[in-house]
Amino acid sequence: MFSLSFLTLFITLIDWYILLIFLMFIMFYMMVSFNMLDWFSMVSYMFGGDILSFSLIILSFWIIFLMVLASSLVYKNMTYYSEFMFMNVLLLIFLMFSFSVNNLFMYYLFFECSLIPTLILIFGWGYQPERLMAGYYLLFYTLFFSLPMLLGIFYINNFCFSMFYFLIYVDYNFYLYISMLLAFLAKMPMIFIHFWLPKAHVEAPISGSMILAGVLLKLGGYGIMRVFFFMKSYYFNYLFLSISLFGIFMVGILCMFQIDMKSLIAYSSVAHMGMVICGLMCMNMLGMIGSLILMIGHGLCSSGMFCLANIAYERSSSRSIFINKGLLTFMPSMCLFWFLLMINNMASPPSMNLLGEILLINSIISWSSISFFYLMFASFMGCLYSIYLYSSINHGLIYKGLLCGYYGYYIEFYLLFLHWLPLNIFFLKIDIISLLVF
Amino acid sequence: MLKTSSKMLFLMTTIMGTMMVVSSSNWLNMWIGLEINMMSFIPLMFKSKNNFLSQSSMMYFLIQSMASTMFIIMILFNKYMFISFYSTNAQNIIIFITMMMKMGMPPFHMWFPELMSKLNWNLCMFLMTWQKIAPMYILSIIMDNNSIMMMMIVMSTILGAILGLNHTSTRKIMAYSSINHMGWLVACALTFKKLWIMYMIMYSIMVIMICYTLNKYNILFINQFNIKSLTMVEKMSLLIMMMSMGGLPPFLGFMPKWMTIEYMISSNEIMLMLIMVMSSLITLSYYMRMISSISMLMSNSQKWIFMNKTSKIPSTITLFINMMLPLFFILMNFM
Repeated sequence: MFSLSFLTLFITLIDWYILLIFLMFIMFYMMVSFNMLDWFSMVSYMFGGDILSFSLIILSFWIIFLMVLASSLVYKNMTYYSEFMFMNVLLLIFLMFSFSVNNLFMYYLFFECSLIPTLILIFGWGYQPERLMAGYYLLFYTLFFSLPMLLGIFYINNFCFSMFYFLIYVDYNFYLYISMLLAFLAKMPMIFIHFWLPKAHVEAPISGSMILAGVLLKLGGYGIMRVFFFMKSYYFNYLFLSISLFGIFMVGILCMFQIDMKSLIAYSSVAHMGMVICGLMCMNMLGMIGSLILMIGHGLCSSGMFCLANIAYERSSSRSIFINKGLLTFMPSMCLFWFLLMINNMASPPSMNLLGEILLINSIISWSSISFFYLMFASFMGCLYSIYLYSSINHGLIYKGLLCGYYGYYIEFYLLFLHWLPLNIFFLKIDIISLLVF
Repeated sequence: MLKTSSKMLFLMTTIMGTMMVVSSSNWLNMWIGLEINMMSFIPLMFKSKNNFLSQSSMMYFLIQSMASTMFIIMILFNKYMFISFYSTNAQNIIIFITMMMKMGMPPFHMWFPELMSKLNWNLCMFLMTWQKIAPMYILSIIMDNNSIMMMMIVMSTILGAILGLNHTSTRKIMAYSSINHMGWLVACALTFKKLWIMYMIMYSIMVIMICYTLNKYNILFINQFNIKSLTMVEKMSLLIMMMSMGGLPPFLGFMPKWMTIEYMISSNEIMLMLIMVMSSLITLSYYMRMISSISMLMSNSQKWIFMNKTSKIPSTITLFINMMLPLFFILMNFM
């Protein structure tokens, strides 16, 4: 696990595909060495993990691998490419640490640390000057909500003299509850504190968008699960549950107004994360398992959709769906991947999103049967905006400027295939997730 | 500064004055140390051809001598010359006030940014780090936990954060950031006496790095960041330096914040801590705004202003020091 951190010292010396091979090698080693136990395993003083952390670590390895693959343009144009690689690997290390520590404070530390490489990715390799404001939104939203959590963590440490997840027993009140949860909810993001997300996605380079949608949003969900180990309050959960339930419906409508591809995908991830928040706040087993599955599925799916948007962007230099039209005649095989990832986004049968949504809908309806009304419309809106994006990009009159571009590269098909494959194949062995025991 | 022998002499006596304050067991010796410190810092500021510096030395003299006069009057009211904790509350408060005047804490902070904006970067660095030690020491030995101290801490952190937002001079911004950090220092001294020394050490390291870098690039206003063509390492190191100053986690600047929060929470000062932490978020916003033009790493800068031959070593060293949070974590355990 730590060999990777030594690798970063030589990052300027090695080529990018050697880095990719290293990443795959370490991931493979981890998958082999981790015995799929149902309880916290491989515990040291600070590190350790259960199925929750290991699945998210492997997801982050996978996404970082695909990030490097997706931004081959950085390598081709040599725009500070070694620094770019350094930021990616640094981000991976921080993510891996934050998922595998068993100490609440250390989790906070690495949670915050992962902000810095993301910020530098947005500032450094973004496209428009507006990225400055987007980066500040990201930084200050996250810090404003997570600094009270730091105080809350030290309060817990002062109260029960431990920050180990499983040893914490604390008499909490509303303030502690809010301070511990809002940081994660701002990171997820819950609706009404999601305003940083579309901005950051629109301004970020493809790698930044992929990691944001793929893993960084999941840090919030992971944190909520960990906090709920010891914060077994049911009294205030209904606040966030109802806001999110309302939110997934409203954001679905908001998606239909978007004319920016990346912004639409960003809003769709707000909707999906809203569903995850609902499942977590129900605090039943079905909700926990379902939200883990939906988080992994959404991580792969939305990252793939950002890749598709970026592939179109690299041809047409525009993210507008009025300009990117008629891609069906232009790149017909890419259209297959558009279709596959879009139907996965709306939870089509052999995908992890479907299973996750089924479990989540079950758990939410078990909380209150009236919520089916929202869920019905939210699910419908999910289909609607996915089809809207697919059809408006792929059908219609082709923009003539695209004809001077060229067809997709093999590397892009490879990239999309690697997004799609685990999303649909993992269905066969999904019962690993049910080992998640609380 | 180091080349002229008289400046060297005064530098040594300035350092000696602080040493006298820190090591004396007697109020009068403390006062003498403060006077030596003040009297020998003024010639350091003085340069005959520069009008600003003579103004600033006058300003510094007036403020410091007023504070010293009040200080000696208060210690002469005492029955004993030795440091006693049994002096009355009113005397203590007036001694606080004199020391706050000497450090430039709100509400006696007006002279401090004015003075800083007239000095050069070396003197700014000296003023923000070394000149704080003697008054801060006196403050810490007579401090007790009362509501006036709380008020001063809150005022210092909030004013330092908010007043710095509206300035373009980097020296003034650094002065306001120093005011904010003074609030944190006093809060440290309030909870645990040794803590403010550790805070001071790390804060001084960060300030020295920033002042050194800004002096090297000769940046006095925030629009001057953009007119140099900096290399990638220099941009990164400036970005990380400012983030470290703002107290973001993986960098050195998080360490003092971490210690302070831990001790403050353990002494149940949650509300005070929340205000301080949120005001440090505001300071982060002006640090980030200082370097906003170069934080966009791919932005263009004017290539016709060539820098002098620079080596990568200083910026690499500052980058390295800013990343030394785990090492400092170990070092602070031995203090």
